[in-house]
Amino acid sequence: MDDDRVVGAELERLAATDPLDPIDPHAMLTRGRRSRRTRRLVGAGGGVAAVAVVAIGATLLPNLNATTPDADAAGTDLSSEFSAVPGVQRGEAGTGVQITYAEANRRCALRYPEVKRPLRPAAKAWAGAINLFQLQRGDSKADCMVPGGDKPSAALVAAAQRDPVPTTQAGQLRNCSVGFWTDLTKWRVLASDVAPGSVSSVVAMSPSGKSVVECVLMAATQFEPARMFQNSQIVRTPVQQHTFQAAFKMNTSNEDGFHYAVGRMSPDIVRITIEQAGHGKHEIKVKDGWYALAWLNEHPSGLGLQIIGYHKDGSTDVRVA
Amino acid sequence: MVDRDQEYVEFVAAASASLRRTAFLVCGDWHRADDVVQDALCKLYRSWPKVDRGGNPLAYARRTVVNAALDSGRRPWRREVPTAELPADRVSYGDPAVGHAERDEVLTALATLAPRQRACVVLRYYEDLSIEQTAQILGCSEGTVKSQAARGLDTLRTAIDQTRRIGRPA
Repeated sequence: MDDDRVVGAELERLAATDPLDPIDPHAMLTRGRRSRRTRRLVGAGGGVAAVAVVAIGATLLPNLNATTPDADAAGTDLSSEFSAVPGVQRGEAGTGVQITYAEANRRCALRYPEVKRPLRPAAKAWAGAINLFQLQRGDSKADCMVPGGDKPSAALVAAAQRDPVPTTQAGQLRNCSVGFWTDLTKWRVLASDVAPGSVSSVVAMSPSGKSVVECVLMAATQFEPARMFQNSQIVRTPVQQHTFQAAFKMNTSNEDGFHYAVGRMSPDIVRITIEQAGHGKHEIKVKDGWYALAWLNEHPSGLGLQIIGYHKDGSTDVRVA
Repeated sequence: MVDRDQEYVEFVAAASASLRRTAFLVCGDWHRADDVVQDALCKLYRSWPKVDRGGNPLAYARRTVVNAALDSGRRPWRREVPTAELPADRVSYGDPAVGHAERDEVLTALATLAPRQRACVVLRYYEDLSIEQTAQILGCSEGTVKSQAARGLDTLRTAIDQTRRIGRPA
């Protein structure tokens, strides 16, 4: 019993170190209302779209597969749209690697001069991954995607802002290049998916085969601008291969019903379906283990969400979320 | 504002800080804890009409938060910045920062626990929930809760004792 009290008291003291401002209940109410409204609108929109499809007729059905970005559009030459970053190697050499905390601070200060704080102390930092700026009471939360050596032009940034969730692979690579400050435009897309207007995901390999980018792009919400999802990253090969269960144990959804995941799993799995019981269903193909998922679930009740991985031999892995 | 929304606002005002503290203890990062709680509260709003407000909406929210906090740590492709860097040199007895040093040690010990063991400890000894309530939230048996909480308690108690022995000469 004494142990209970001692540990309880220590946990109380840890919990009392909360450095963040209180959650604004009215802001939460606004967010909740918007979330509910979005779901209703999406549901209604889906119904209208379904009616329209029937009216147009079967001749256009092949085009319904347009949620898979156009593979031929990748590889657009935009190399002139990037300039060097002082002290950072160009291309894949400048990213996806471990760097010192000091170097991460230097790069983040270059990229985000308006943030006057250092990064949170850490023994390790990576270029091509998110690091957090230090936070004190009253500060707004700020992240730094530690940049590589290819600073995008203003025109490229503007193009990405105009089209934050591209429906082509070229557009995805362009926007991810802007997010990482690394020219990814000639990288080879291994898998991609898009929920138009909502979320887009892509995994691509560098021309040398030594690096892989996993990138998720999200549309603006009432609370956040259009952005590259914080788990997006550039890593060196070989990329860790996850089991099906591990891949979808990740936090791959948000409260508005957006589902997104990119990475590599067993090459035995050839396709994945994600389905809300009695409602929407989405399917992606898995090629050599590479997968990219982007799906807007119109009825995100949180119940009855089932993800199934289909193996070559016909067997399945099932995850119920 | 309709009554239902007013009740929701009052609930958020009353419960959000507590939920964030719980989420922090489970996931070890204030930023993630904040995200987890806001996501959970947003979900709660959508379910608010269905939630048995005469019952215990806090239990519903707590279950959502704890499980989301557990999930937030299961991101194998996310490279995290460590949430607690241990100080390079230990502070001496009498140092006013000794409390912070102790917290670091306990936080580190907490982080070494397996996620569900950590959740058991937090729910049992921080939230003061019963074994039955903890088992319901985590979706496991009461026996599992007992064994996990006991092991976690033992680990934490050892860390606390060690800290006191080193930081506070007898």
